[in-house]
Amino acid sequence: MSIEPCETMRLVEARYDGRLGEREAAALDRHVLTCDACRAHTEDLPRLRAIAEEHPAPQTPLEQQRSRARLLSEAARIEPRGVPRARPAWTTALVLAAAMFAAGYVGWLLRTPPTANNAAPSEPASTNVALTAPSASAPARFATTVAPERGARFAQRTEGGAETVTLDEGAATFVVRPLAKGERFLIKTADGEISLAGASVRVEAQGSKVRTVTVQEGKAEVRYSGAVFELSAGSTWSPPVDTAAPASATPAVDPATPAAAAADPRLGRASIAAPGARPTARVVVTRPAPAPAATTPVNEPVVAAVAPPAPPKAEVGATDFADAVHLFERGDYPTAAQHLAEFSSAHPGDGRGEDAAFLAILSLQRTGKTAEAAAAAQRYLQAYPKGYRRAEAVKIAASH
Amino acid sequence: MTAPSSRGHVIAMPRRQDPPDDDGVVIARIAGGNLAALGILHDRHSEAVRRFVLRATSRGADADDIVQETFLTLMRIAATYDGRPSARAFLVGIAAQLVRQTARKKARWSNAITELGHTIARAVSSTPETTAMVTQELAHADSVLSGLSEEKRMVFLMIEGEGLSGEEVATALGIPAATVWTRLHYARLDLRRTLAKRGIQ
Repeated sequence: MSIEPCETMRLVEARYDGRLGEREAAALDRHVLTCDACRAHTEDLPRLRAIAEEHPAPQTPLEQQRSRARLLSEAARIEPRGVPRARPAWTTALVLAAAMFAAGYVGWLLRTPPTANNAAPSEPASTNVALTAPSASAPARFATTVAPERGARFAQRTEGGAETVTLDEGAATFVVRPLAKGERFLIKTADGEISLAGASVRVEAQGSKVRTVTVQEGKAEVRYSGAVFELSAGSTWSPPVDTAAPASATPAVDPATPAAAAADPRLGRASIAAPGARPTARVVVTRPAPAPAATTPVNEPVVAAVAPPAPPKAEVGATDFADAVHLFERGDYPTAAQHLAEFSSAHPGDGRGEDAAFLAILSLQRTGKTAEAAAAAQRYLQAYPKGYRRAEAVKIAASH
Repeated sequence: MTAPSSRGHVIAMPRRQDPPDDDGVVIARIAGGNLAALGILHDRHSEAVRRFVLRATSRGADADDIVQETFLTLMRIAATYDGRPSARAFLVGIAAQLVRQTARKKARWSNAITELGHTIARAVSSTPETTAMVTQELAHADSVLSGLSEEKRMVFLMIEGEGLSGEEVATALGIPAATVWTRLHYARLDLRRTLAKRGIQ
C-alpha cells in the first residue's frame, strides 16, 4: 500500500466522490496510468469506504420501542417553539383565583344569580394552549401535554383529581402520563368520552362530536353510546357514519344479548392502524341489559362477537366480507379461508380485497395447510406487490 | 383478532392509509406540538442516527443519550426546518454536533477523548449483549477509525458511511464545503497510513 504523496490524489478522490467532469476524468485516467501513488490511492478508496460502511447490529424491535417510549416521555416535558409554555401549578391557581374573582365581580354587577354552570370557577374558554397545568390541589405529577393541531378548539377543566378536556373542533394529540389512584384524565365530546392514563392518543372531533380516536402509545377507553371500547396502541376507533338515530332516542344496546349490543353498528368501528403492533380493540358493554341464561352476564366484559343487523347498502360485498371475517374470528378457519378467498377474487377492486387475501393466508396457515398458505401468499404478493402485509406474506411464501 | 366486524363494527384489520407524509410535513407537525409526529420521525430515522453515533463515538457509553438528544433537539428547532422531504442528513448533522459537544465536555473533565483511541476493549467488554453483537470486522473498522481526529472521523463517516453530500455535511457542521473535502482527503490518507502500519494490504 503506497502512500506516496501526489497532488493529483485529490482529483482521484474528486472523481470517486462524483465531483469531477468528464474531460478532467479523461485527463486523470492518463495520469493514473503513469503514477503509482494515484493508482494505489484509486485502488484503496473502496476499501476505506467499506470501513465506514461496517454497521453495528441494528436495535431489536423491543429496543426501538423502548427508545421511542423514552423519547416521547422526555419530549412530553419539553414544548417546541411556537407552543406556549405550560404554567406552573401555582400560576394556574393564581389565574383561576383571579378569574373567579372577576367572574364574581361581573356577576355582582349584573345582579345575576349564579347558576350551576356560570358559577363553576374552573370553566375556561376554548383555547389552543397546550395544557399541563394541574389544579392547585392536584398532585404535581399530574402533568399532561395537549398538542392541538391547527384550528383545534378545546377547553380544559380541572376538578379535584380529574382533568377534563372538552374537544369541540379539530384534532389534538394528548400525552398523558401514568396517573395515580384517584386521578383521571378525560377527553369529552358531545357524544362520547375518552379516558386516558399513561397513553398518547390523537382525537379528532367535528361539530363537538368525536370522529376518530387513534392510540399511539398505551391504552385508551372510549365510551360511546352506552358501550366501552378498550383500545390498545395502534388501534383507531371511529363512530359509525350513519348517526341519524341519536343514541338517546333509541337504546344503543340490543337488550337481547350483550354481544349483539356490542356489535351494534351505532357503536362505531375500530381498526388497527399500525401494522405489526399487535393492537387490540375490545368492546365492553356497560349498559344494563337483561341477559338470557345462555349469554354472558352483563356486568362481565364481553368481547365483541357476532351481530346480525343488515349491512349498509352502500357497502358492496360487505355482508360477504363481514361473514368471512366473522368466521375467521370464530376460529372456523377452513370455511373462512374459502370465503375470504372468494371475496378477494370476486372483489379485486374493493379496498377490503387485500385484507381478505391476507386473512385467507392466515386461515390456511391455521388450518395446517402450509403449502396452500404459501401459494396464497405468492398470489397475494402478485396481486398486491406493495401490500401492507407484504413482509409477512414474503415470509409465509418462503416458508414452504 | 378481536375487533368488531363490519356487522359488529370491530375489524382487526390494517387500515388503508394514505401515502405517508414526507419528513418535511412530519416535522411541520412536530413544530406544531404534535408528539406523535416525533414518534413517526423516530421510527424512520433512529436506526440511521444511532448507527452514525455509535461509529462516531466508537460506541461510547452515551451513544443512546445522544440519539435521544438528537430527536429532542430537532423538536426544539423544528420550526426552522427547511422542508426537505428527507430529514436524515439534518438529523445526522444534529447528531454530529452533539457528538462534538459531548467529546468536548469529556475532554474538559477527564481527557476522556484520548480513550477514543482505545475503545475496542471497552466496546467489547461493555455489556454481554454488545459483546455478542460486535463482529471482528466491525471491531477492526472501529479500531482503524479511532486513529482519526474527531473532525476527520466525523466527515469521513458522514460522507462515506451515511452517504451525505459535501454540501449537507458543510451545512451540518457549519464549515465551508472545501473544508469538508480537505478533511475527507486527510482522513483517507490517515486511514491508509494506519492500514499500512498494520500491514493490511
